[in-house]
Amino acid sequence: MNSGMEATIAGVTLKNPVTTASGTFGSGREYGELIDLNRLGAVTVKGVSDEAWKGNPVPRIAETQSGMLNSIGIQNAGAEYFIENDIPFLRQYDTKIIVNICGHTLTQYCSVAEKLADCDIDLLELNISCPNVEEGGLSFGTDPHVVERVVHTVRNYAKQPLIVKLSPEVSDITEIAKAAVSGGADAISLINTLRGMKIDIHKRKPVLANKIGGYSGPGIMPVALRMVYEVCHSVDVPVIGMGGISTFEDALEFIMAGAEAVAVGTANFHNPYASIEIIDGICQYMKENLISSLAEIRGCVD
Amino acid sequence: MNTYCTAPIINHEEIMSGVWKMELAAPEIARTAKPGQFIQLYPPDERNLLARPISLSSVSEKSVTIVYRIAGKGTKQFSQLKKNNYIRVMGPLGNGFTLPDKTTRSIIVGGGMGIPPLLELAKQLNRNTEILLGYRDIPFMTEDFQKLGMKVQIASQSENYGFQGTVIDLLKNIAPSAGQVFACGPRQMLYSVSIWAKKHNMPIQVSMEERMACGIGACLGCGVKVRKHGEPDWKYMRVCKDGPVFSGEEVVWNE
Repeated sequence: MNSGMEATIAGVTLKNPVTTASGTFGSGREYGELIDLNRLGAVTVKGVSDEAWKGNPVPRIAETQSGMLNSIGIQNAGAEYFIENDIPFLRQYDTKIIVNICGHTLTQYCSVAEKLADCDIDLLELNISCPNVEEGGLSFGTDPHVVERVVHTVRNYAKQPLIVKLSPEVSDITEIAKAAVSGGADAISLINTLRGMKIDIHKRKPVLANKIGGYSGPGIMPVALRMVYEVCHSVDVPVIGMGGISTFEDALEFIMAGAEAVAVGTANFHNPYASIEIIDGICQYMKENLISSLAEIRGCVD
Repeated sequence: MNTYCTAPIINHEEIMSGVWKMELAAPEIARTAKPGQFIQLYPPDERNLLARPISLSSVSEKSVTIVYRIAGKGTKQFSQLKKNNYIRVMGPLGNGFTLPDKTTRSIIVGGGMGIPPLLELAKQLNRNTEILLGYRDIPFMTEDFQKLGMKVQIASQSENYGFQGTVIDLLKNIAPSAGQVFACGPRQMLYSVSIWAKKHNMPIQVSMEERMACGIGACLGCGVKVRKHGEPDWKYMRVCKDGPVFSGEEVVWNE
């Protein structure tokens, strides 16, 4: 029986609209000791690159008022390790698998997409927006012509539907979203982090070894919501909204702005049950407001 | 097994200026906690999103005790909580110390706020254990260690408290022998103790710290460079999950 909470992305139906934001949830193994992964609409895993990445120097984490900075640099064990260890782990659960892929060069993006092509995963999320990767990452995500070319090229290697994850650090997000769709994106996710900084006044130097990192948490939510709203009104593909979502009320704001699904990120660090509480909260809201399907409120804001 | 819960504070006292001891009634955490493990303690003010990782200093049947210094906004908030207040906590986390067999002689080296996490460890070692505690200024928790009936030596960089100098100065006067070294304290101290242990062919376990977000191994925020025996290259291991206790010989100290 349908719960009315389903979300459909490029033909893949999530039982509810809540997934995890890449990089905050590993491949689910650690949080799986605390929460039931079967409850999630999907698990979006931490970025996977072609070969292993060591990540950036420490410290990589700084807390800010109502938010945090990270400069982890997508440390990961590489595609082969991921395929061998993490896909079988996640497949034990009744949840969809969204694999975030990253690279320093276009060739690396294509290579990881190709390695995953015959794997048992549901969706790919192309990360062209990480601020902590010098080559690739953000540099691929801010020029519409580059975005279109990168998406189009990776599209040729990928067999699963392709979500493209966008950076907020552009002057017109709709232009980038349109470019991604015209390159072949099946869905859009946004926003990645904003670049930020924190200085330790006692040491008189930045807290992060990399000086600059990605800012996330409740503080960025109004920016994220505005951009999701704009993108939902400019492209015809489903949008996964994220950026500071901590409560079910936050998630509903994104859905009313037009998001098909939402991702919970930094909130996991503040409360490991956040994603489950958000699912329960949406369900409760639907009951109280006699909503039988999320479609009734999705995009209700003009 | 890791538990996330809200726990009542059953004891909370300032043991010296700016240093607090907090006991939490958390039987689920206490049941499996091992020396060297830590808890994530969540600041009551939601504007401070991230939990503070704090090592357990002692464990009883139904409670766990931590000792922390006020170092910022989060720990400041902890210090304002009263007995019977509740606080969100997750634990026990990390690997903890690996205890040697009952006959092994151990040397414990602690510096500053690295001293509290060594108390539960000391309790679980045999009497043939030497304990070296180093302070910048006023010593604290020394009686807790002295009560265990082991040889305890104290160093302070201030001239008013026993031996004036660092714990490394004390260590240089210790007769090395077969056994195990444990250390917790500032990075530079851990490095120096590791050099000493290596010189005397003694295995060493060091408890490290790093800025952390998730506390359970998912985010990879808290890296420490480790080169495993037999591996050509180092990699970042997770302080929260692979540590906080590492082999002092395997940590890549000076890069």
